[in-house]
Amino acid sequence: MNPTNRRIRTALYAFGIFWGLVIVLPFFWLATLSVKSRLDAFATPPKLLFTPTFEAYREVFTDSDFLSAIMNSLIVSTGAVVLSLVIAIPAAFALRNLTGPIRHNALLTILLIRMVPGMVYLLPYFVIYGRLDLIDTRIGLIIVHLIFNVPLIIWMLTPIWRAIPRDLAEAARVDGATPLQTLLLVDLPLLKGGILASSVLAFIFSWNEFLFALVLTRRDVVTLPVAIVNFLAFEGTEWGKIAAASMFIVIPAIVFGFFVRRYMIAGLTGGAVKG
Amino acid sequence: MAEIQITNMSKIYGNGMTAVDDLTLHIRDGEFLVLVGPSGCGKSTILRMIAGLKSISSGELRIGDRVVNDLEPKERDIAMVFQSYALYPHMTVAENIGFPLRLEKRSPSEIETRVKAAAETLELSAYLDRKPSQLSGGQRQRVAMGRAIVRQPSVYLLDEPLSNLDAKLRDATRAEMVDLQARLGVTTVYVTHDQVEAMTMGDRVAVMKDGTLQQCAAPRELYSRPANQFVAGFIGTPAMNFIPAEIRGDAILAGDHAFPLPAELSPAIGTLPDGHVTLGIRPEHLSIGPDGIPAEVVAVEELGFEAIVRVSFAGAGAHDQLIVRAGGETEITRGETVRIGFGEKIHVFDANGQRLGEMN
Repeated sequence: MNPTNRRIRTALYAFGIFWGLVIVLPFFWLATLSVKSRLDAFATPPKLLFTPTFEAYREVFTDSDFLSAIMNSLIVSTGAVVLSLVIAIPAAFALRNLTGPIRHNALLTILLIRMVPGMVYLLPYFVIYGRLDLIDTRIGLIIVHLIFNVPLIIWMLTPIWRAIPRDLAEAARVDGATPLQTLLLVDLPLLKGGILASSVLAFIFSWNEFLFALVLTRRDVVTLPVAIVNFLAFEGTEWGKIAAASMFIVIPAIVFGFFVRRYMIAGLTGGAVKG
Repeated sequence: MAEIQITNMSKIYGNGMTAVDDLTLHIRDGEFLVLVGPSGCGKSTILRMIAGLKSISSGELRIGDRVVNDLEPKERDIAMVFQSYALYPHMTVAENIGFPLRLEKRSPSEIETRVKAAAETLELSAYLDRKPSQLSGGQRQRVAMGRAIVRQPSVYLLDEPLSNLDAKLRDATRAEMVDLQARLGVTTVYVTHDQVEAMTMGDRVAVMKDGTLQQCAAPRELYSRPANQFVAGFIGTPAMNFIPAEIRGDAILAGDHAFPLPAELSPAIGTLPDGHVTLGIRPEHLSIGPDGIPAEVVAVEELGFEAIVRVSFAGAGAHDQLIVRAGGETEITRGETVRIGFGEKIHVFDANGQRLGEMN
């Protein structure tokens, strides 16, 4: 290895370590905080050696509000992903087959929808939901999440779909498949990775989403991120519980990320389907 | 088993482009018909129209005794092999071959029996559990064939099925496919841009150009009696030599050389407005010998059993070179002067390229 390469390599490693610390340190702080006693939590200087306690976790998981928040988050996120797929898969199929300016403009419009700050949608939705009695309902929250998840899935699936040779669909048609059979038996199995990857990203978005959940829910449909804020109670901030609850929220992202890493990369880079 | 009757069939796209122009073609029951032509000539479009993947703008298409213009591909009783093979990457070889049967809702045991039989015919039995990505090009091609034959359709449509194979494998597979088709006796339409494939495989060959059928005939007929200058130039390697010529009284004048005008050509030539014609001579109908017109050897391609010799006449431009097929035993070197004999068969084309006849 020549010196220039070595210097570049060293610099890259240094940057990698720095970046790792930027991400890992807050997480480390959160993790330790969640297992510290109240006394140890804010000792100065910070205690690196302490007796871990799972008191905060016990409190969080016996809190009925928090348990119902877990349920709400699971239902809303899963519902938002499933409904998004139902809409986005046929949309991506249509966009795959379209050509020319219509397709280009449609894709761009869909992207714009995703790029508009959530705040812009918030007020109209708040007013409309008030009239339709959708405030503080799971379906109401699921519908709002479609704004962000449908474009994401369409944008991830369309290029992968376009990378599947058109001959396959034609071969299936000659072999006697209906369009629906072609979709189910040929296209979807090949899109499996992309669907999985985009579903995970959509799920994590819905799972983490805070703004709409805060404004469009009251008591019944509080989701996890909002539930954490509720630990900032009148009687004082319960840092241990916040840390423990936050750790719990992070888990799906890590677990999913770990299991579908392979598909994520394939899905995000697109065109990864080998013919 | 079925014949295909194409009557005045056209394909005109939305932008007004005519891909296939008024095609009338009768493909006989059990025949191996090759559609050949340069890219963009409409041959693949015709195949896709027969398959039902492209709509028919006008005209009629019959397979067997049914008009199939508006039928879905699966109702046409056809099977198609794609240039890319279009194997389903997520299915095994057995699943690929059995896919059409699965769609027909055949019983699993029947599917298994028929897939095994097809695999045996194509020597794929050892690979039934593999995915297409684990196969060689030749094996993939056979799987694509398997998917076609397993259905026992009455027509095979093959779209350049050999073009992705290397030259050696292509030669071997060519013979195998002809043999397979002869054994199965199923009407076959085969598209290729390769005139050697067309000549060696087809019972008859249909030559296409710009969406129009130029000629449909048996290979030998196509070679010895091409309907026009395009077919004459397209069929045969090296290509036919073309020489501009003029009719003067009882003679045809090409450069300084005069040929006597054969009597049987006179009626056809009499109708020409100006007497300009093109002479077409195949390289093997020119000879290098003691008699003839002197010419300089510009290039020699030595093939062992024969030599392809490019010659130029004194005073002629670079585009006036002729190609001569010489026997392998004659020693010819670049730069030497030889004598070219115009002894044998000379085709005569009019100014529009239509064949008028030949001189011997």
